[in-house]
Amino acid sequence: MAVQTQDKVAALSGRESKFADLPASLRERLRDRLHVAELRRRPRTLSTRLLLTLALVGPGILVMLGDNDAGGVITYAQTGATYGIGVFLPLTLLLGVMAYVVQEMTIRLGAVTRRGHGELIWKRYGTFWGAFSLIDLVAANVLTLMTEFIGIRVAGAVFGLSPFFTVPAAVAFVAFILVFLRYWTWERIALFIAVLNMVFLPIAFLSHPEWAAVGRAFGTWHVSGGMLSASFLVLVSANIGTTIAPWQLFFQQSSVVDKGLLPQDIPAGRRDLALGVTAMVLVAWAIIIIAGQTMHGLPGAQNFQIEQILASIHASVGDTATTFFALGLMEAGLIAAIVITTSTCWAIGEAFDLPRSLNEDPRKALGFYLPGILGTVLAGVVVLLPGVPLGFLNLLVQVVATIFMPAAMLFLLMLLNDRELMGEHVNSAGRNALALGIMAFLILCNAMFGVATLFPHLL
Amino acid sequence: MRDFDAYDDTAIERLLHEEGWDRPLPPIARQKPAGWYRVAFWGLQVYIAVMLVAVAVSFIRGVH
Repeated sequence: MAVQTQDKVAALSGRESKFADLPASLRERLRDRLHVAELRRRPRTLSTRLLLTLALVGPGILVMLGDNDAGGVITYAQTGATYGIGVFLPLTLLLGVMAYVVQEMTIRLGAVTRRGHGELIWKRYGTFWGAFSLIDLVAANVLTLMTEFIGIRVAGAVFGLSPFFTVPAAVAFVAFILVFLRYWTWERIALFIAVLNMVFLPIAFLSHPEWAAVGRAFGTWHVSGGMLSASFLVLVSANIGTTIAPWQLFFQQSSVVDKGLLPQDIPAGRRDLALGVTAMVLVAWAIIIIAGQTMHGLPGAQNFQIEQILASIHASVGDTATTFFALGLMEAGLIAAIVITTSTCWAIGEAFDLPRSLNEDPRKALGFYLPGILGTVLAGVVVLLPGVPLGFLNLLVQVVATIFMPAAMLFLLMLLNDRELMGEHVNSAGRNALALGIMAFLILCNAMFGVATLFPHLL
Repeated sequence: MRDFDAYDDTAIERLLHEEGWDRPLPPIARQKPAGWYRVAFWGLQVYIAVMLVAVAVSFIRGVH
């Protein structure tokens, strides 16, 4: 027995010395990949398939549920309040498909090149476009984080919590898991929080919608005021803006790289994204149904802010639904804060060629972790200042995204057509046609929303 | 999930080799825009300039 133990120790010490020169971050990633490889070698039973699926999900679910952020919750609620459970239910499904097409490209790009979006732009198209993308992304991220913390602040107030507790606690939590957890654990915790986004589903049932009307919404596309009315177009654009945003392209690609996904994992990455898109659409439907049921027809519903939305739900559905909605809002803000902060770290690491993995020891990669944390702290501090102009912040977020979106889309399409980088995984002609159509539509709607926001009297 | 050191040497070496973790990534060369890329870049620059002017005008007028 003692001899066996000695042998094991000797074997272990021998192995440790053999791989001792591997960087700690690579050892972490290899461990994750060894786990996947081990699961793939096992007999294909149901439990093995489930474990493999669980091991490979992450970036897709996180990006799509992170996309249902505090601002998204407000947009969906305003949509349901204005148009009821009508045209926006099928439209959200269409937006989900569009999001899938766009985000799928980042999976291939990351898995094939093993590089993040920011790094590819910087190295392939030069300093100007690299710096432009980075500055725009970081500015948009910090501004978006402010809206997330406003959502957390308002949701905390429902439970009688002071903003001086909820906001710093959220900032501390985001920073803690970013700095002290390695990729695998960080991703698992983020996924757990992301899945809580589903809390909106039971509220939709509690609001007792007319399910026949929900079903009919998919067959009739009637829009009161017409599909070319300014209010409809602005809400369509806002819904698109909340479904596909520039940070998502950067986040998912970097996440795919940091998770260590490779070309053979692309199908798994697609399934992960499909799960995320499905969950995103279900949650969006739930919020639209809740708002359509509780706020549709109320005067000024289109411009309801989160406090009025919560008050309407409380008046129509009661305490339990309000509590769930506030929890959902807090979760939406928190998961978005987690993924957006991480996307800032990755983008800055890629731009300045720093060690750029959540597997890096913070003592050796301060330059990677610190900028993201500082941006998040800044957003948290601003939100705690008295009289924060929420409308102005939302305006700024939209303006920055409007300027950035075409560039992000253009770079994505160019990189996906770069045969030197992508090899056999380059976009096919059909996929290009689809992507071009979607991108043109997205850019048009984004620009239109920007114009409508800046010059509301033009539409 | 098992610890890294709990995997045997062969499995680690095979993974390092098969997945290429023991090799540096190929360098990425700067691509000079040509053809429709050049047109796209110019279009993008014009779009950004127009949007920045629009933003400046709207803020100066105090739309919001």
